[in-house]
Amino acid sequence: MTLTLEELAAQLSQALARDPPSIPAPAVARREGEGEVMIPVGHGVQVVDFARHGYHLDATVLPQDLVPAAAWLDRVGFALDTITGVDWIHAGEMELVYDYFHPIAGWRVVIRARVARSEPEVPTLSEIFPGANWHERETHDFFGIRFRGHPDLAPFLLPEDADYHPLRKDYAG
Amino acid sequence: MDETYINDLIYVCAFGLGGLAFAAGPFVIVHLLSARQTRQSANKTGQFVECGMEPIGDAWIRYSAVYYLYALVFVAFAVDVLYLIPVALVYGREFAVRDLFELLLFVGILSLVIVYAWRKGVFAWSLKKPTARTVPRS
Amino acid sequence: MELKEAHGQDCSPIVKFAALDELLALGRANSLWPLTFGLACCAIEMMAAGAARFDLSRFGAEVFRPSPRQADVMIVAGTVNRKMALAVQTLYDQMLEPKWVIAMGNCAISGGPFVFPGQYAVIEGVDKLFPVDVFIPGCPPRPEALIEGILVLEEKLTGKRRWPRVTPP
Repeated sequence: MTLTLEELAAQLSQALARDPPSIPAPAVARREGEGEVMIPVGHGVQVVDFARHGYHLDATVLPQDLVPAAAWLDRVGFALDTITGVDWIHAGEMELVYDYFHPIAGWRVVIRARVARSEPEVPTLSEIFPGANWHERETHDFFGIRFRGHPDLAPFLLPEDADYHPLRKDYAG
Repeated sequence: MDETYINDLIYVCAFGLGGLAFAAGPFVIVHLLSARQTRQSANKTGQFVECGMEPIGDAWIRYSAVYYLYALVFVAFAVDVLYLIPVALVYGREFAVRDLFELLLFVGILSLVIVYAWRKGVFAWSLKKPTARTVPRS
Repeated sequence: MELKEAHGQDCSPIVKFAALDELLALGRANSLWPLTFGLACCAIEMMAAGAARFDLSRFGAEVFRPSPRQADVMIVAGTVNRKMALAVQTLYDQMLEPKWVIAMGNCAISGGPFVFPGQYAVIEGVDKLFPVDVFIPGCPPRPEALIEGILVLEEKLTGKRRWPRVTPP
């Protein structure tokens, strides 16, 4: 791979560019830590310290940019590692986290998107990454996030007749 | 009807009945000695595939027609020899040359099967190099 | 050894033996063929019990059958989730009489460490699904404990214990 990490970040930022910019790059580190520096690149893309986080790039996108970002990463040669959700109940939002890795260059990229907690719906990635099919089923099982265009959102790990979403913070059992 | 004829008939009938008993006997024994039912928790003992999952599709599948070669070679070797065994009892009783000719005719016709299989390459074992078609598509 | 009635089903055979029953029970006790049904960590201990060091083969129980129709005893080794429960029940149904169940490990006995108020996933004990003959506690039980469970099952079948019970001094 002839690109460096900084060039990759710049290109990803370009690919996500909108006019006006959809997500402003945060000026300070989102997670506090001593001596930690997050380098904002633009359009929500940051280069982070791999030793601290375990991934190289962190990008926050709008839900409608998830599929173009995935398509761009697929063209560059990334593979999808996992999809999971985070329930920010006090902010009234749900965050989706997509982990990608590049098998040759060894880079790890995280794409995040936030949706409203009352209507959590994002487009599906299963046309670009067929492996996303099961990850999205699992995320739907545990968080209740709907994936538009998914062929079959049947319960994956929960019993077939489950109508509860256990990893939501207000699940009481 | 003379003595030996009835004797032979009794022998054949006895062997026939013995064979039938051998075939049908296990069914009778199992019906009498085995448990009538097996304890159920979800009434799934009748599922036609012995597996924990629900079977998808039918148990009858289509398989390749090339297995006809197995049937042909079986006929040529095993059924051939099976029919030759009673010949040993009656060979050469009256006309030895006629018997020889009939035997050669019988074996000759069945050996055509062997020639066919030979020409098909059934008896040659060679390592097939993997061609493009044998590599599975992902 | 009698075949129990379950849900009003009479599972006994048409021809019943009396004195020969003991011989049959001896034969069955010394050749218990388990169904390979390791679900979780207890399966590792079950495999260890079947391997060379602890050797289930000396009890005739080494031949783990992949098909339920050929197995005598189902060793439920591991956690049974709600999603897996129907599969376990199907396999139990497909076993033929006489059959026995050994619940190995805390998860199979009562849900194990995964039971808390409001848990949504685990069946709390395999005896909620079908009758169990031997319970082997432990998380996971050592291979020696599984062997003791097999010996207890043998005692249940024949009425006699193969080896004397060892009490700690």
